[in-house]
Amino acid sequence: MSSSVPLPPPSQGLPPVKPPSGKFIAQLFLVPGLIVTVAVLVLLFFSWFVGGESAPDELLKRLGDANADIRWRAANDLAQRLRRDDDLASNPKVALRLVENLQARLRDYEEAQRQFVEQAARASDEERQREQNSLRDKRKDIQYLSPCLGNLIIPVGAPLLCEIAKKDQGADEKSLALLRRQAVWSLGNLGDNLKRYDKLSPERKQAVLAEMESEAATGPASTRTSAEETLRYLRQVQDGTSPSSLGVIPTLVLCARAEDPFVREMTAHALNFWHGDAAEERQAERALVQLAGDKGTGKRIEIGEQD
Amino acid sequence: MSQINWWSKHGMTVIAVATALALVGVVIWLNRPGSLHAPERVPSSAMSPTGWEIRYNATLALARRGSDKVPLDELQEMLNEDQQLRNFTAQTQNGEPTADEQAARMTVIKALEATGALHQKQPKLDLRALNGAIDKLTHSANLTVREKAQATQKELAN
Repeated sequence: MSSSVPLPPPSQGLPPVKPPSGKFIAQLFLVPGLIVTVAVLVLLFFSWFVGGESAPDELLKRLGDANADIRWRAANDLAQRLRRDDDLASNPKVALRLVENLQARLRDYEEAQRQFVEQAARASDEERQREQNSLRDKRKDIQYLSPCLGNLIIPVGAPLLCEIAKKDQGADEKSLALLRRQAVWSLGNLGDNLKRYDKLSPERKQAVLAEMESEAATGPASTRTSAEETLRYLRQVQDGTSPSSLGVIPTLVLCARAEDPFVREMTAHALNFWHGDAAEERQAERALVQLAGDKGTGKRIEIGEQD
Repeated sequence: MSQINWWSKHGMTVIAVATALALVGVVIWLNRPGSLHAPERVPSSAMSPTGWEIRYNATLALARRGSDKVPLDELQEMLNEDQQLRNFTAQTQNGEPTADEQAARMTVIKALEATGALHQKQPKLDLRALNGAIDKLTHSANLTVREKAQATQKELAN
């Protein structure tokens, strides 16, 4: 009898290769597909719940909110939307409401500045600080709204931006410089954005003109003049004549003589984008020749984060 | 045999050290001044006189309008890549001044485009004073500047 070492079990071969069943393939694609769909739906629901892109009416409404942060956020969102949405940027109603809003904010700010100057001597330090903070908030309203007018593609806001750009007297030198620079910058943007109007479809242009006519006839008194001037401008553009620049070139010519070299720099930049009638073109050329020899003299006002 | 043993023991180390030295040499060569990869240091020569930002914007606007009053000397300066690298400065993370290459090259490119636009609107205006500067730009280290300069040369030749 021989004792023998038990043999190792025969090696098992690979399992037999079977083609995948329909059920297996369905599991391979369906299950991940379902997971991704559910995840996307959850994300969409969450963003809708938290607040995605708001309707323009909603943004305009928030521009009048009592809370300053909500107003500024709404103005900032609107300015960004106007850059990429040609329909919104050519909407006469939205444009004129923005003009109305900025007009009101400007009046508030000027009135508040006047009162601050009158009462500053009598007020305590604490009251003066509180008033300065309130003035700063009112100034920020204007700062946030000016870019909205600059991002439109119809020049409804041009006269109001010119009004701000021309101001060279104010209680606070830094605030004046800030608002003036921003207005000139917004005028430059507006001039550049007017090219987007040329690219609108004929139907859209007709709709814009029709709505502008309606606003000029029946809109609020505060914006009727803006509507009429813009309508005249757009009709001249349509006819192929060179419309006047709605006062922009004369304003920029004035800004070309500003003490602040930064305003002069932005004026030179803005004059790249505005053209007017023959007389305005000659004025613009003279101002540019003067700026092309500028020595950078004047009072450069430095504005810091705390300002 | 002992030599073979030495190489078999230390061969990998020698190869690694030689590779490291070669890499260091390549990096130094790539970062030599004037190379495509070297960060531009701010040359010690002067920036343009004060107010250059205003003058440049105004010059571009005049050129784009096709004005015959455009100051060609300012346009020539804008086409000087070295000068623009001196004008546009930024700071590295260590606080060292360095050239803002993107801004400098953008200025040069805008000047080239404005030259083309000026020639289109005023074909009879003598722009030969700019030929030297544009020709130099056709040898720029930056591809976009080179191509733009070549295109502008062709436009001016028409």
